[in-house]
Amino acid sequence: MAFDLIDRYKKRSSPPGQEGIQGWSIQWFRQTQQRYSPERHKGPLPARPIISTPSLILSFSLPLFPPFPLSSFLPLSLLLLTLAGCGSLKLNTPTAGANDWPTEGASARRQYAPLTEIAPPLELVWDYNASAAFGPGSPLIIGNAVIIATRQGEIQIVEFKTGKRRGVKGFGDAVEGTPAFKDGILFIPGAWGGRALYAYGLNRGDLLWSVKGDPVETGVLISSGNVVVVDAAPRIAAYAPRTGTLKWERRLDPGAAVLASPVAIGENAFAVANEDGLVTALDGATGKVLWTADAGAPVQSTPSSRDSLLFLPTTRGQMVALDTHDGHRVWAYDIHSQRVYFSSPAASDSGLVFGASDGKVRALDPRTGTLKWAFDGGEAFSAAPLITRNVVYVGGLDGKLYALKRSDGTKLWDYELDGRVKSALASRGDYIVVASEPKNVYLFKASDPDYAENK
Amino acid sequence: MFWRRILFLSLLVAPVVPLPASAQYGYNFGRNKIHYEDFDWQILKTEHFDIYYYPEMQDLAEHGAFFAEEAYEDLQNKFDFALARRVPIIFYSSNIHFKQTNTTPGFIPDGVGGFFEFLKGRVVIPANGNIHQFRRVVRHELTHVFTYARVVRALRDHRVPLEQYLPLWFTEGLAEYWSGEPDYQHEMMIRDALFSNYLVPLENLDRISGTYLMYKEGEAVCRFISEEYGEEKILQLIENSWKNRDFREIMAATLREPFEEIAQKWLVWLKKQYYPSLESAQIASYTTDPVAVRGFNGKPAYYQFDDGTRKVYFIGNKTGYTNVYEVEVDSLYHPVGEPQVLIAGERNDRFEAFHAFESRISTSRQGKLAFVTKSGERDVIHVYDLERGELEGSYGFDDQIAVYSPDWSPDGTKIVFSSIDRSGYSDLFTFDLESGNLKKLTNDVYDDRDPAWSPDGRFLAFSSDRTSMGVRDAYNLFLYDVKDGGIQYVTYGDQYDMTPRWSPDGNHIVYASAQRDTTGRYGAQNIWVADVSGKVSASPEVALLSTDAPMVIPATGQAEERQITEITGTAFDPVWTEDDRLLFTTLERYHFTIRSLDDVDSLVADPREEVPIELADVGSHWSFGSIGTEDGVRSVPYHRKYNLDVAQGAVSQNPIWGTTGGAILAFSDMLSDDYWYLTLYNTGTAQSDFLNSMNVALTRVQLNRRTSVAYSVFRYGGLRYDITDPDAFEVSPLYRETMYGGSLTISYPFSMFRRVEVGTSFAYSDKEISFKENSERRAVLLSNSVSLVHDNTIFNGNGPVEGWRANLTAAYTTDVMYSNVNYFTLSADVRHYLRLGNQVTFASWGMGRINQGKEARLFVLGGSWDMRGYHLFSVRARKMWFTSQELRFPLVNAPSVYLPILAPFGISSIRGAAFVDAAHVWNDGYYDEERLPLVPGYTTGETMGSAGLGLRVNIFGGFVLRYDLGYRFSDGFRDRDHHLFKQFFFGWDF
Repeated sequence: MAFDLIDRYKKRSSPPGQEGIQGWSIQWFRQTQQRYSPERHKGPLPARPIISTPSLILSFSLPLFPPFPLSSFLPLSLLLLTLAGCGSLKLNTPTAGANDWPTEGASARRQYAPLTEIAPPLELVWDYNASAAFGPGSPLIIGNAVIIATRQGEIQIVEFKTGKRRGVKGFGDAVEGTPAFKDGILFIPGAWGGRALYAYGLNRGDLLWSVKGDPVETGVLISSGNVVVVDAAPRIAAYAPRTGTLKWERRLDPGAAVLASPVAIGENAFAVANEDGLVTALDGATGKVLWTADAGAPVQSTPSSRDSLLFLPTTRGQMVALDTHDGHRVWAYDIHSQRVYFSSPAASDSGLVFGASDGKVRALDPRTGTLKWAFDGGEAFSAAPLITRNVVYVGGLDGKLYALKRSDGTKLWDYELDGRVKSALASRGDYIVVASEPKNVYLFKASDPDYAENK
Repeated sequence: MFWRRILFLSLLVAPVVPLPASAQYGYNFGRNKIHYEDFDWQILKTEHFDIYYYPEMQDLAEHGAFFAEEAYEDLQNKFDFALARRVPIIFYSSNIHFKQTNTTPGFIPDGVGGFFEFLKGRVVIPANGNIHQFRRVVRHELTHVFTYARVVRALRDHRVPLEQYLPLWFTEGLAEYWSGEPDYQHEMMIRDALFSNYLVPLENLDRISGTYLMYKEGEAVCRFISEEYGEEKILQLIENSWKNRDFREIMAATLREPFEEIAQKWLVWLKKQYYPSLESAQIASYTTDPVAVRGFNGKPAYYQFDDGTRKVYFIGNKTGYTNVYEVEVDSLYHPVGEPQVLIAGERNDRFEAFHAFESRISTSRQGKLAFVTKSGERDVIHVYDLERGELEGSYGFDDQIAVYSPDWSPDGTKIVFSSIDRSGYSDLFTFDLESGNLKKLTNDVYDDRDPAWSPDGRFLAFSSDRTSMGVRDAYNLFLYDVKDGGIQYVTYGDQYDMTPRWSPDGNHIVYASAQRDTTGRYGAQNIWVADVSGKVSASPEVALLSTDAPMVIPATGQAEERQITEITGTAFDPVWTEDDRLLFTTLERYHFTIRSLDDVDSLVADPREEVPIELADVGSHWSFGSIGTEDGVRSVPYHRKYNLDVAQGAVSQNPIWGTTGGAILAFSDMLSDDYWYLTLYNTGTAQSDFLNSMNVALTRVQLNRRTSVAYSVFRYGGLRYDITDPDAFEVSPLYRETMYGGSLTISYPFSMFRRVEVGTSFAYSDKEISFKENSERRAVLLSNSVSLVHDNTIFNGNGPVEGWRANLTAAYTTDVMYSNVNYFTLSADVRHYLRLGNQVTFASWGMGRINQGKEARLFVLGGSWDMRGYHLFSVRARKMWFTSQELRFPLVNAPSVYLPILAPFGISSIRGAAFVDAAHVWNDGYYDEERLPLVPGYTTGETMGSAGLGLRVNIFGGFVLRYDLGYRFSDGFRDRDHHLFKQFFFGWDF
């Protein structure tokens, strides 16, 4: 009689083309031997179970996609990760500094434009193995910490200077959207298998409050002092940051999901775009609808806003600019292809830069929507770029980090990473944080401030 | 490649038992997948792909490289994704070459257009003469590559096991949908499924997994999602695949509607598109006369004998084998009796396989039938004399690999056909049977097919994508003037015009055409007629073939084409008989049938539709782009590099038997022509026993040539369990043996059905059996064997149902140093399967085996697989004969239809069996009685057996549970046990 003591276990995290253990199992069973009496072996024999011993079998199988790293061979890492997931997060930083990156795109307007000088070539300061993948948003940088949300439901804190892990804690099965940090509290959207929103006090390392509800797969917005999230229903809800009290809520068209994070379009207003291209502007304090507009095509990547314009990337080769006051269309840039996905844009005074699935990075004049330049990287770009003073940085699905001249898109430098970059970048000072597939986080530092000018 | 697996297994076993495996436990059968060609592989390195090709098809490979990069650019946008590594794409220039590939172990039928294989991430695609189809398949397979990459990424990101992959209907449907607009075959399938009311609802698509209908319904679902919900939703379905194991839940969450509502909407969406066309359409079974309706039937031809007898000939498949059938018809073309097999195909070397869907057959005025089969490494045209009832000859051509649709010249001296050579392009040829002269008529990249000789011998009508509309994947009809080599348009338009045949008077061409409706979608393929009276010579003559290159005569003027049928599903392969009848093939209720219509002249005079042919609109020629060395792309010769394909291992710990464990590693090259296997395991029960019990084997299997070679070096040691060893205890045949040496096996296939295998092994053996006198035996064993194997059986889910297979083996094993071992082996195993009905088979098995000499090993019988009523492998002796007769019949097909509760258990059929088994085993004298220790009441030297009934339950289409009950007999079947035996096991029928 055999029975499983430990059920089949699957290691489920490996990079593309680097899959490791497909499966292994441990079985314990009782082995019963039928033994026959030697002196009677010439005649008919009764079956008598007289040996009954326990056995332990460990088996594994590996369908392999070369090359495979030995590290993925080790289930130990998963064990450690599981143990680590029971830990806590602490950060002695009550508020975000001016140069910090406390939310997706650095600010509620999701501009990805710190405009500091970060000149290539960059030097790799450290790389960190998060043992988990990342959503499309950016990491956060608060004080001496890089905060990373993973698709395995963890928030990890990594020391900014050294790349050493300082804490990890689980929040459900997946965190897809980017958390937001304000006044010592980290607001974490729960995409699956847990609560819809968590407020975690980083100073004391404790959970302040959480709310149940439909999963939240987009980033958190701080608007009018409220914590605003859009869930899968879709429903927009605003909570008091300290108590989690529901301040207001508003339901949107249930027939169209919201896949892009909400974006601020003024001091007290923000906008939400759904997959039908319907844009709804709301008052952050009351939830009152200010205006609605049609982007003309589905919006799946997070928009950005600057001055009085809201920039909406669509999935059908259009970038649409709406007036933030009334939602009227100011301009639309159209490459006349129904099948090109535009990434979230980075918006500065002089340029609106975004990647696309056709392998190009484009820069538009944010006032007119006219094309200023385009860089053809060959492979798709799905992550938001980062605009610095003279250089645009963008990660591609070819696994490269590119530095492009901000004025004309000329490639200045590139760096090959371990996997595709599909998460947005974050920066502070002359540092850039990059998250790439399958589970790596890199910190780069500018090494030659004159490089871009000389080039 | 079943036999290769057997070969490999035998190699693993052979070093342990220095005899061929077939002489021991196993039975070595299986058809042969033959590597006829030794391709000189090259690799074209484009931006994203490694294109594998051979020099003869370089031009086509460069087109393929262009198609791949073109598809990449498109799919990158559709998936919003990029591939992380280069994708190997292996091209073959024809299906015949493709069938030889080792990249998949199975046999590849004609209909397979290509595949994406997960293990090495490679794509394998054959050309078939149609460059549009080639392009479409490239896109189809690359859609799979992108889908796989994107799904795996989503699953791994969220630590979800890969078993939670998307359902097959969705991945295949998406690959079809994103590889191009729906073709006429899609329309044919969906129309018939809707109109005949067998369209499988969305919730049940898993039940038709892998069928052609599943592909087409899946394509329709993806199109529906795109049109009704937005194309982005398809990508979201993929991206959300990690969220739920049930794809219906993913659909509901992504499309934001209950699944039942989505399924219903899809049905309504389909019906809205197709039902309006029912108003004017003909139901084939109501409006036409049946000629052959049971099974698959197609490609009709007819002949009227001198005595007035009329017969219709066609290619058909009713039981699993494809044959040429004949059926006598009366003057109204009503069949007189059942169709009879004229040429039995797919069971011998000469008629190895038919291109059942692609190649027509033709009868001449002189009573000769021409048809094509695969025969070895290429296709062959066969000529059968209908009057005399005998095969007259078979004609193959060195450079022509695939051959299609032969048609006779009016005087019966020549045959025109289309053919694909090693370049992968399809052109027209004529073959003069008297002189043996083969002449190439066209020579370009266009797909010229289905030639038909005019009654006056002057023209060849054929279908081709050489039309200027061909750039849109259209086919039109052309005339080739055999006098001067000129080519002129017959039809023109964005449509599929196929399979032309001439009217008896030579003034019309009848053909199948699929034309677009007002929405731009293809309608049903139907029968059309074009008037060519103005183009045909008035004086019948068989002109000499021009030696000049074909020229295209500028198209001028205006003509018209007339639709004479409006069948709901499809109608194609028309033949216009001398007595003004039309024979053609239709699809209705998922069956291809041959039907007839009378009075074709009046149908032409009063057509269902007339469409002007605007020949003045004919444009210029078209061509596709290519990427080659001229574009700066490198081409390098292929050198084998071995990658680790799979590693498996196990370790067990037991207080009595100790810790044992081992692993096997398998490596192979990109083309899977060369395998290396490393087996490593230890059976030691104590630390001191570790080195003695170390087992190592290194085996190489080379499959890149017609002759397959496998060799191995090994070292085995430790405790062994071997029920065939004559010295070991019968009850518990455990003993110690140390053995090292090497083995070599060579297998040469004569054909798909027959092969010879030669094996040799040389090994040192030191055997020790405890508790026996002279317990230690040393030997230097040389073992040689030769086997002849035949197998042309076909299977259902339970086992063979028709055909026969046999294995004759002779072997000799001797100890060349100590003379401790010296015996020979003779074995004959013959099994025959007689098909009594579609689902009823009478199976007969006869086997005789002898091992004679010093230390001759034992053969074994017993168990549910052969000697029923006796324990598994419990009947052992050095000599035996055995026979089994079994009637296999159905009890319940698809029982879950009657009892839905059975559906989750995957019970696909329940069948019954009535059997009689008999055997006689002996060691020395035929009647010498020795008691068999494991078999109560059984002795050697007497004929014993069993008879009873059995139940076979097939689970998930391939796993069979067996339950038998009956009586055992002894003493030459004179004595019968008093009690019924009951036996439960698993496994296929013999």
